[in-house]
Amino acid sequence: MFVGAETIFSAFISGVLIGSVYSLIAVGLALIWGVMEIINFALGDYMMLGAFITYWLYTLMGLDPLLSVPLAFATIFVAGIITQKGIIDRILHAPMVSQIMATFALLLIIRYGAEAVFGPFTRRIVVGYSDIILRIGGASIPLTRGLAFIVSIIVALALYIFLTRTYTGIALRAVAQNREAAHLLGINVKRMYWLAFGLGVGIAAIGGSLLSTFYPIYPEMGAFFCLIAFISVVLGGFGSIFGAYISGMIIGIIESISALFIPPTLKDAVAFMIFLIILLFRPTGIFGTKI
Amino acid sequence: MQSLKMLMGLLRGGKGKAIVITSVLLLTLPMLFWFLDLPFPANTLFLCLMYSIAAMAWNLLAGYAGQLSIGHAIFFGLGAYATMILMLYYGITPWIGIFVGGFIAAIIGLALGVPLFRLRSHWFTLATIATGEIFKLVFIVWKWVGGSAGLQAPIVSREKALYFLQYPGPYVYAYIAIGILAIETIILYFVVNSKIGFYLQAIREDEDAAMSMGINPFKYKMIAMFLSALFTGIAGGLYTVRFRFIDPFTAFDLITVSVYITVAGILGGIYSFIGPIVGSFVFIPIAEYVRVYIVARFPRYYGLHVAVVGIALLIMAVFMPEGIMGWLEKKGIIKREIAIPLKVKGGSNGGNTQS
Amino acid sequence: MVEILRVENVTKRFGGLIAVNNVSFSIEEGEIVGLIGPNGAGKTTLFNVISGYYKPDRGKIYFKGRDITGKPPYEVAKMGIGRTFQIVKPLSGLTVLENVMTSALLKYRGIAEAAEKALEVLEFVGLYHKRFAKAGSLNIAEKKRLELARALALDPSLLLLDEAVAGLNPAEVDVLLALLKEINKKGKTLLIVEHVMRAVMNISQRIIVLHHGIKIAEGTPKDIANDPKVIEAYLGSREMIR
Repeated sequence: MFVGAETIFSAFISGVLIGSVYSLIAVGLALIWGVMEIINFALGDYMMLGAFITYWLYTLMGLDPLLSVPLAFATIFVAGIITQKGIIDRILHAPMVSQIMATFALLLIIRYGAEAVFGPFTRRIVVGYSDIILRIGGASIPLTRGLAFIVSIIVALALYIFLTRTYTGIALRAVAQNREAAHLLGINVKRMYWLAFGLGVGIAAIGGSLLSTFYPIYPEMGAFFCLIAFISVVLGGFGSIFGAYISGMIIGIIESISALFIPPTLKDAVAFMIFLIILLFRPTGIFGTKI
Repeated sequence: MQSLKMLMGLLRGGKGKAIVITSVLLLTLPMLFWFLDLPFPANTLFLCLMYSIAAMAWNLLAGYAGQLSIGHAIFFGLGAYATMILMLYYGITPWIGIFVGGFIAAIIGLALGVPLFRLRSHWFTLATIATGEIFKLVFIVWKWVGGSAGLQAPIVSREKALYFLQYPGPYVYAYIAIGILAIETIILYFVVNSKIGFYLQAIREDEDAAMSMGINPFKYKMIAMFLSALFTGIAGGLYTVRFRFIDPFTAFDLITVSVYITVAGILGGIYSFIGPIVGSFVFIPIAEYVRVYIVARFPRYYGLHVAVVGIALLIMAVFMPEGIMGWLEKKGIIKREIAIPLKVKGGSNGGNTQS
Repeated sequence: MVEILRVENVTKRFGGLIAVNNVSFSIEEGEIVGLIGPNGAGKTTLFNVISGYYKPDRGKIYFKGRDITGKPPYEVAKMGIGRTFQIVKPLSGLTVLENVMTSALLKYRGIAEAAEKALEVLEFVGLYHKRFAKAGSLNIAEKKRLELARALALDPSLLLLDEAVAGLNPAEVDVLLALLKEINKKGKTLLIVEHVMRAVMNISQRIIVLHHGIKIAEGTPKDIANDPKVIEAYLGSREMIR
């Protein structure tokens, strides 16, 4: 089956676009892990909440989805801090079993609680500009996805600036590197944990919010994206936020291009294959260090 | 053999009485249910036993080796499908098929262990979840195993009932499950009180320290994986013969298989030998009751019961991570034991050490 | 005398930092050798290379004449090298007896034999009375003795002891030193990393000094104490040789 260069280019662009959303969730996972060495199993579900917030704001109040992105972020950020204070703080020094079960329990509560409250139906947002497709350089870019991409880049840049140019951001990185040393330097490690968790889920919620403009919204959507985030962090290397971001895009691209050759239902399997291959041949990931 | 001496020592003590009583109870209950025509409790008993088999196996990896899997549906599903396929497509009796299925699950487990054991702690768990979902996906798409429609075993004639293990109701299956659970428990008891058991626990506590003692973590994790997948696969085979219908959504389900097994293990107590059995017998009846009486009545709120499981799990994780058996041990009601043979120089109470 | 360990031109880098820089020395059977140096000198890294936790970037390690470079820690343990860790690593959820039994199982096949050996070792290090206690509940001195007991239960020919007396009060230090001397009398070779000068000077027959990853001196305790290079290295980092 001959596939033209143009088709591949299209798929590439398509992959970058969706990948930019993957990247955000991957960053959320990497951030929380990097600072606290906790995997937030429920990350995908915070993302789902972000999507639902945008949906309800649009459906009930007519608020344009892109405008609700900051609101979704703020809400979930706060929710994240509450979660951190209420739950995560208690299990930070608990045995691994407790940590895993706690965040996994969160997954169950959020995901299935949402299903019970919102119903298991799939919803979509259709805005006035949902149909607009831009043609740039030979590629067709749906406006909604293009905007999502732009927001993702903005968020990434904002995060970069935050982590490298602000005191708080650098303090956060310090805690990620060496908890004890950061503490001795006078950094309030506990507050940094709240911040990290809030940011992590907040950024994932931004991803969900953006996603809602062009992707179906349903309570169990978190599962797939958590999987992608996980694979991205493995690919990018466990310590690296930058690696996670780039890897999200890479996964998006690989998925998109392979969709040209294999049936779309096996999309997840492709991501999983990538994951197995990385583990077998380069478990440190592209940018990272050994866990 | 030493282990036999240990077992005898165990049976002689107070624990022996508990074992005898539970065994007698277990052996009479199915008959009683059959006599009184109580299919729902009997089925619940069957499910408790089936989950016990899976949870005991799961705990070898999770409690002893410290590798927490929330993806054991992989092995359950493989066992279930293997048994069904051997029966349906090749006419092979499930008396053999169940064990072949378990073996297939075990081999796949080894294959998965190669990449997955490169991950430690939380990442391993996340990987098992992902792998479980992928297996479900593959079986949904794979036409030869029935795809999303699943596979149904037809009713066979009376003469073939024994061969195909087809009997009405859960009663016969409960007895088969008891038998398998008994065998599994004995095998695991020997494993856990042997060098393998010690090495696995060392790996769980501190892999680097374990290596300094001559332990190859990968090798022993693989041994644990083999046994864990084997018996979980057998549990899956049991499911197939009892219900005669499987599809990817039931056999590989994250919640009703992987999570239920995990909850049973954790609720019972992962640092205890029989914790998983205790946990199954506490959790499964509740889950079944909720499913049949509550969820069926309020389908609109379908996900709620899972959310409640989540809440219970959260409370357990924070306040009672050692589970029921661990809590009992903390309160001094029971004592944890490793079995050390009687002839030990200097041992003040030859027989069992106590902590 | 028979050579038991030979370290040849071993170099280990972490990114841009060279932790161990072209270090060579050899140890003979039955010796007690001390490995000292100011903080960050690379001593623990060297231990980790010898015991298989790190692969050296360059160089070779020979144990009893066999090349063990790059062999994983469990192989090294099987061949007869036991080690303790600077930050103790007890198997906290298991009892003291179970901890040592796990080690003993390497060379003592059955559970009963392993238990017997473990109890023997526990008696030797003075932890017999705590054999049923959970390892996590011990104090630091006891945990250090547990580390030692675990290493001994392997029946090793060479023991690598990483700061075995750090954090102990002087009385506890003396007890441990006496134990080490006993162990050496039984024929085991000891390579000891220590910061507590009194301890290492007291017990070692020979001392190797590392500084910034480089071996700067080697000799008897007396030679080392008077070696200007060594004195400078320590005075430069404000530690004292007593």
